[in-house]
Amino acid sequence: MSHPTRRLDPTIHQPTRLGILTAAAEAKRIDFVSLRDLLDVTDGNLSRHLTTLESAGYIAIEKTFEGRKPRTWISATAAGRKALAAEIAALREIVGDADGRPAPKRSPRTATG
Amino acid sequence: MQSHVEQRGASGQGAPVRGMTPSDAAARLRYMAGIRDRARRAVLLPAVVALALGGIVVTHGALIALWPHAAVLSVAWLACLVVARPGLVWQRRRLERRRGLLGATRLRVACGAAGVIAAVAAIVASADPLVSAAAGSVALAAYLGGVPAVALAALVAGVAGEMAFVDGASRPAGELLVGAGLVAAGLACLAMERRSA
Repeated sequence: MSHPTRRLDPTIHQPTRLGILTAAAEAKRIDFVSLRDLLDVTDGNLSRHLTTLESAGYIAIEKTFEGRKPRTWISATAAGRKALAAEIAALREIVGDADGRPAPKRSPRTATG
Repeated sequence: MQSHVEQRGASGQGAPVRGMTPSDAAARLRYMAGIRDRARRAVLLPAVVALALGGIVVTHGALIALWPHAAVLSVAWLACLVVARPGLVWQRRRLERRRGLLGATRLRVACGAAGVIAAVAAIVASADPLVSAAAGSVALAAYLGGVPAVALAALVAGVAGEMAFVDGASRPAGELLVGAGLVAAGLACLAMERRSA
C-alpha cells in the first residue's frame, strides 16, 4: 500500500488545474470567461492549463458560436471526476494521517510516483 | 500556499508529486472548498432563492389574510406556479447561458427535494407546508453555497414560524414573519456576496 503522497496526480495537483477541475465538476458546463473570473487567472495561463487537462482526458472543450461571438465551454469528463475524487481522498488521507486519525480506505488507484 | 516541490506552470505533467506536508494538503483542500462554494453559489444563487421564496411566502400570507378561502387560494397559487414553470425554466436557462455557467441538475434537485421533504414533514406535524418548504430549500441552497449563516437564519425563521403556527398563531401572521425572515436572509446573503466580490 503506497503513501498517499505517491497517489497524488501531478496532472491535477497544480492549484490552477485543481481549481479548473473542481469548478467544472460542480457545473454541467462552464465557459472560459466565467472560469477565468472564478479562478482569477489570465487568459493565457488558463488556456495552457486547459490544454494540459484536455490532453490528459480530464476535461472536454467545446467551441461554439452564438451569433458571431465565439464561446468556449468546458466540462469535466468521467475520468476527470474520478481523478478529482482520488486527489481529494489522497489529500484527506495526508491530513488525517497527521491528525492521528485512522486513514480512510484507500482506492485501488495506481501510484503516480 | 503552493508546495515548495510542486511543478509550476502548465508543463509539469508526468513528474511525481513529492514533499506534500499535511498543512499543504489542508491548504489545498481549503482552496478547493473555496472554489467549490463559489461555483455552487453561482449555480444555486441562494440570495435570489431566498428573496424569491420569501416574496412568495409573504405574498401568500398577505393574500390569505385578506381572503378567507385559504384552501382554494393555495390550490390556485400552486396551479399558477405549475403553469408558470416553463417560463421560469426558460428564464433560468437564459440567465445561465448569459453567465456562462450551466448548473449541475443534482444540486437543484437536492434543494427541491429538501423543500418537498420539509413540506411533507410539516403536513405530518400539522404545520404550514409552504413555510417549511421555502425555509428548507433556502437553507440547503445557502449551506451548499458556502453561506452557513444564511442557512441557519432560514432554518431559525422556518422553525420559529412553524412553532408559532403550531402554538396557535394565525397562519397569515406566521407566513408574513417567515417570509420577511427569508427576504432578510436573502438581502444579507447579497450583501455578503458583494463584500466578498
